[in-house]
Amino acid sequence: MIFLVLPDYTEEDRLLSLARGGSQLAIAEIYELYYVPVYQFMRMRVADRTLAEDMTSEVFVRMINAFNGKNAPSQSLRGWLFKVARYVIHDYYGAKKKMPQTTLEDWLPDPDESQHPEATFFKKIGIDALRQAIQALKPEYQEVIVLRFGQFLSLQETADIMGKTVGAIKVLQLRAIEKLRAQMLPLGGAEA
Amino acid sequence: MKPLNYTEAFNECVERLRQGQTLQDCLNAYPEYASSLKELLQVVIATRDNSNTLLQEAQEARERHRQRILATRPVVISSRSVFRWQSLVAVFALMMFFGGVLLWLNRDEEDVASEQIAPSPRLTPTMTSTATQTNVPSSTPTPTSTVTNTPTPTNTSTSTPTRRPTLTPSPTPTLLPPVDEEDPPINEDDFGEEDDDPPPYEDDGQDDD
Repeated sequence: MIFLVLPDYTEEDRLLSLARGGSQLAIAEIYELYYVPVYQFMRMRVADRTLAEDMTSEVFVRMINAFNGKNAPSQSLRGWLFKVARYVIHDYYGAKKKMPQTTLEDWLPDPDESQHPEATFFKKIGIDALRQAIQALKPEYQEVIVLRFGQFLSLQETADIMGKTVGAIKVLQLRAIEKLRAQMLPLGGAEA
Repeated sequence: MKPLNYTEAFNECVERLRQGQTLQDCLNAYPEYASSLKELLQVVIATRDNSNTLLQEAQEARERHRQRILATRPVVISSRSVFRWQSLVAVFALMMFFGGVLLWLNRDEEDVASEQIAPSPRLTPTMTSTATQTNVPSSTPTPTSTVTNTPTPTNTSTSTPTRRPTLTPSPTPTLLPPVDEEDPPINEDDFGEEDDDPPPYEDDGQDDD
């Protein structure tokens, strides 16, 4: 099952040209279409729900300001939005000097639940635990996991957003997923 | 199919998952990496599913913030207004600069004139000519000095009648000339009530004993 939230590129280009022309309706439609993926990006990286909402809202406030100025996105709207989302996170945690990182003990499941033989690996570790495991990675790994596997962006889009080459993203995504997997091994992931 | 290294095989599987293929499809395509790819691709699928579980939460957040965000007035300084603002500042700065330069030149000429008038009689004609030109703005200090001198005697003369009742009782009868004959005689009791210090010549203490 693949549930793609992002709209297709043709629709995105149409909205982008309309919004650049000052259409408030287009901006409202962009908000409707892209709020959810941007929020997902934020929420996968930020543990606090309220903070993730505020950060997502900040992305769209910046977008509205950009459409009325010189920094409006010109090519890839989704790429621009995720790039701004990265900046918002960086601005917030840059001001606090350090991203909060959860420890392994914070997301270890209940031992009784892990005794069920029929439970799959992912059901054992749980949704929140996986999210916290991602948030325990270093920011570069978090970004590539969320963009590539959370939003299923293409290699080129991810490379543009993160400011890297496609080849670098290929290597980075493998290292990130291996690191995430290694963190899950104590939970019984190797048995799956 | 050409053989791929592990990094490329993993990336190909991710692309297949993006296109809707299953995990088993990927493993069948790369049997040499099947065991290790399976572990990693399970994490990939879990991440994707985890992101999808946030859908409800994200939609609720979108509803909550829609009104506020779409009502946001853009805070943008347009290039036109920036240019207008900058031009005003530039004009003001230029006016201040040239005004300051003119003032400085005027003061300098006055000082030079005042210093050089006395020693060289040859310079006096030239200095008088410049003095006539610059007298209009520079003459303001000289009248003020004369004006302040003149009111000082008038102020002192008008202030003396107002101060008469507040003076201490002992010096006033002797110092003041008999200005008006109709003024009532000064009663020492009127002044003695407000003063804490006893009046002179009453503090002998002989009468109390």
